[in-house]
Amino acid sequence: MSEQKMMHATNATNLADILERVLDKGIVIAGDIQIKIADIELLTIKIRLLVASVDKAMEIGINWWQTDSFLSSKAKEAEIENENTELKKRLEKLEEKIKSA
Amino acid sequence: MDGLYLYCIREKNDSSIFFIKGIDNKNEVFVLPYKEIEAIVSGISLDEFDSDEIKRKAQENLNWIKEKIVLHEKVVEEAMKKNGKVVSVIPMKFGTIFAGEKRLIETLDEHYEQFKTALNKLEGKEEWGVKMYLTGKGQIEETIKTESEIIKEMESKIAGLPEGIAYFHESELKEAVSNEVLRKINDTKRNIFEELKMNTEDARECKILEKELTGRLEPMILNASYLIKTEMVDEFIQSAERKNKELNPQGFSLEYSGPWPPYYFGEQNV
Repeated sequence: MSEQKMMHATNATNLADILERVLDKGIVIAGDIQIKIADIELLTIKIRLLVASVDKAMEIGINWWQTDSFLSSKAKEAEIENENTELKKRLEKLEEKIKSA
Repeated sequence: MDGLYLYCIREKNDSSIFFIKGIDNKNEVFVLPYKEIEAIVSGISLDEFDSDEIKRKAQENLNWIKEKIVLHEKVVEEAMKKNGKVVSVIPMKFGTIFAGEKRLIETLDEHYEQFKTALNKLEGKEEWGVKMYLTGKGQIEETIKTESEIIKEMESKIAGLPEGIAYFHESELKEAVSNEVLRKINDTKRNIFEELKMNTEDARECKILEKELTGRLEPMILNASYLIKTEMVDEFIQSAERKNKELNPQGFSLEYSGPWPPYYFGEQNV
């Protein structure tokens, strides 16, 4: 008998294999509740699961978050907010100086 | 605990103790017998495993869904093992849930003949996976340039042309080489798929997994599943290892994994 190597989610390929099988290929019988995860959702899930490690993702060319308009606009908003607070502080200081003068 | 999560179905079996916890990481996995088959289930809260709730969690917390899927797989794997041997199971798709024992028994009754037939077909057989990766495209190109008669002929023709005209033929040559490379890749994977199919009960090609999913730099070029008689498994593994050794210097690598719950062949047979 061969040594029975059972599969475990120890590496990305195995994890991808398990996701593929359990989500897409298992037998469908009508239960009272069948959880449906649509294909597109499934793909994003899979990709994002693997993007856990940013270095790895860069290595294989997944760097969508750098060009993602939502993410980058978020970053800009934060920048503007910081600038605003900084300006307000300076304005307050000036106003105080005028008052005391 | 108000619902039942169904992992898989198998022939009645006297080993009914599960060490692993159920999908909720809390309730025990247990066996629900019906006639000659049994369902492997665990209790769950229907509030936690509501379809919309799962969708929301899948979106918000990837680790949650990942953990659940791996747990599902692990329960099925445990249901497959008995004294180091593989027991046939019919694995369910993720998220097959019943409102209670009565509803599950009704379903087992309704599909009883189908399940029996499928289990009979899978009896004494194991599902194994084989994947091929392209590791050295450059190597294949080199081989083609030295071995393909058509390419050699084109090269010598270009060599005899004046520079300006040769330039236009260079791109033709490039295209011809890349076509030959593609042909070589396709022929190789087809041959491997067919050669490994010998002495198996069934074989099918599965979806190629993208680099983003495998997390590997080399592209996958073949993803196949085989249904193999248990007594033939050793031979299959040896032949896969031999092929991998032969393929490595040619710019390919081959990996096998198993035994898997028969997700592919179970589906075909139910």
